[in-house]
Amino acid sequence: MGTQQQYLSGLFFIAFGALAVWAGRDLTIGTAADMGIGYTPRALAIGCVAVGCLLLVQAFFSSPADDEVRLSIAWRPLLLVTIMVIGFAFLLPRLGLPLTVALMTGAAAFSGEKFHWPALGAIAAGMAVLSTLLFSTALNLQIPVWPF
Amino acid sequence: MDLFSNLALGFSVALTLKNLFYCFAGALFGTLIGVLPGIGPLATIAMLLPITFHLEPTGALIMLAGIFYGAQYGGSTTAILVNLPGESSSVVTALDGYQMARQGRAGVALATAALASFFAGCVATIVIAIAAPALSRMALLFGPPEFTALMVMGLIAAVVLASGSIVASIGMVMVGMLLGLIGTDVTTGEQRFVFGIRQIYDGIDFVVVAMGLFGVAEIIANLADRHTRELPSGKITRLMPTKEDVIQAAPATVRGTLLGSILGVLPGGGALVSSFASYSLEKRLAKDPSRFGKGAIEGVAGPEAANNAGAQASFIPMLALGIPPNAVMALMIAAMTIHGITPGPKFLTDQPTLFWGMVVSMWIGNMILVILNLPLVGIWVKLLKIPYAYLFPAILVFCCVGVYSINYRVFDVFLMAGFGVFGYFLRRIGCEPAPMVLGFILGPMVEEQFRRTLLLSDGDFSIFLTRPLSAALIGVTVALLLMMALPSLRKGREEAFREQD
Repeated sequence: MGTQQQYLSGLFFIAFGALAVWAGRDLTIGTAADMGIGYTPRALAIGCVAVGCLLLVQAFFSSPADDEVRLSIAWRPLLLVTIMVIGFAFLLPRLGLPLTVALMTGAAAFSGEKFHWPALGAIAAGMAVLSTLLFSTALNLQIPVWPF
Repeated sequence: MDLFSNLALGFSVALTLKNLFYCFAGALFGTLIGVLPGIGPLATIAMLLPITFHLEPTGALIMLAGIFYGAQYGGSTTAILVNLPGESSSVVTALDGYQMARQGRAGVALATAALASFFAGCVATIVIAIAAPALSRMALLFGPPEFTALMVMGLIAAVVLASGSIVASIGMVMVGMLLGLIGTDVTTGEQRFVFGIRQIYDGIDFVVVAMGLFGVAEIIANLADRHTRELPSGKITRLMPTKEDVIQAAPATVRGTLLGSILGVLPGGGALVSSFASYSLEKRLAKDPSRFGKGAIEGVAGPEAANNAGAQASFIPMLALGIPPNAVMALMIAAMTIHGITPGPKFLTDQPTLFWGMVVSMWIGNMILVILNLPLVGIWVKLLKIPYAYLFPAILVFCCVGVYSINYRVFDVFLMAGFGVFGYFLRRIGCEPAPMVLGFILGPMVEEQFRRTLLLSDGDFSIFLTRPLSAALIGVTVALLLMMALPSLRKGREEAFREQD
């Protein structure tokens, strides 16, 4: 773990623990002999905060390595994949499986990977047909197939 | 002999035409998806879950087990051919396997991996047949304090034996446990952390979490990481190892199998630790250690045998105690629950046909893999040549349909997208998602046993130390943690995992 990662993960654990304490503020804690539903969550949340603090202390006392790379987020794949999954969930009840799958496969054009339009088109069509045959016809899953 | 009559019962179940077919189909699909670069066994099983939904429990279980070995085996194929291990347990296979492939010995490396895995699978099946019933009889002596201590030990062991920062991994376990507690509490029926969202009143589905963290997040990471992908070159001509190869590989296979069978049973153990341990053992025993990393056949045979034996042996605590020793077994428990099967001490005695049928089908599945894979290597090579732009949408479709079809609601797909983003960020800040997944499934179980324990003792925590069995388990846990605090041992652990880079 790099120093920057230690700082960030430390902050993450503190934030997560704090969120759990806040979200569980109304749960009954009870006593050890007669635990309420808030007992274990509170203990775990405090544990999270403790781990976070420990990581911050570690980060403070460690010197960054010379070759340490700065943290980077690959926004394009992150956004594209998230949009594809959310798009699936949004479109499936409206367009049915084959159209949704075809659109989703076509969206791969934005991934920045090398591709050829005719091949991608053929794969989108093939995936639409095959997924419908596999999931709906062969496996008999109750998935909407036709629009509306 | 009890064992033989049990195995005979198993054969009578596993050898029906229908179950043979499920075993075969599971192994085939498991390999097919497992071969795809960047997809480990966990994501493979999660993706293929829906194809088992409409089967009856025995068939479903046999097929799931088949998918599991297929995925495991497919990962090794990818590691050898394109140096891209599907998951961490085939990292070591890539070290020497890929070098063998570059020397034009890809076929021999694949055959060695297949045969070593088969041997390990045969032995591990017998180990399961003997150890699982013994362990589940022992489990009858366990009370709530022992179960609590055992699960805590498993969680700590999983953290120590995984790569990455120990402090952060312990944090990840707790995050996972908290997420696992979301929903209606089993003891009181009260709800917690549901934020008024009706769909999570019954808790978050484990498959959604696993698929988001290991499917979606993995795809994002693969798309971001452009440079590592290499295409398999050349044709695979010769499969069969020479006599010299066999002489070198056979002892390594036996040692790897033994290591894997032992390490796989331990909580936190399984395929990963076994393959790393076997690789360093072989390197230490070799007359000329410098051959390792340059295509030494022992470096393929040993770890492959070990990871297969380890993967299979980790079924023992899962089936006998109902406690998953690693993330993949946690998913297997979730899958079994979908089919209304609860693994645990009673599973063996209540459903012997199911248990023994599954054990025997493991052996058959291993054999099918050898028969299936050696002739089909050419197809796997072709599959690896498909550009990622065409592959990843197909993988995503499988993930989405898989998650959707658990409850037939799109909410789960939205949730999976959330866990995908979460998983990607966690990876970027250096936190491994595997301990979190284990915490997620164990969280509610630990809480229930912990609560019962303190109810028994009237709130007195010393009960964990006054009962000998639980005191011993707590002792091991503390020892594990202390060991990691010692600088020299911590260094050894870091070095053991350095092979990855």
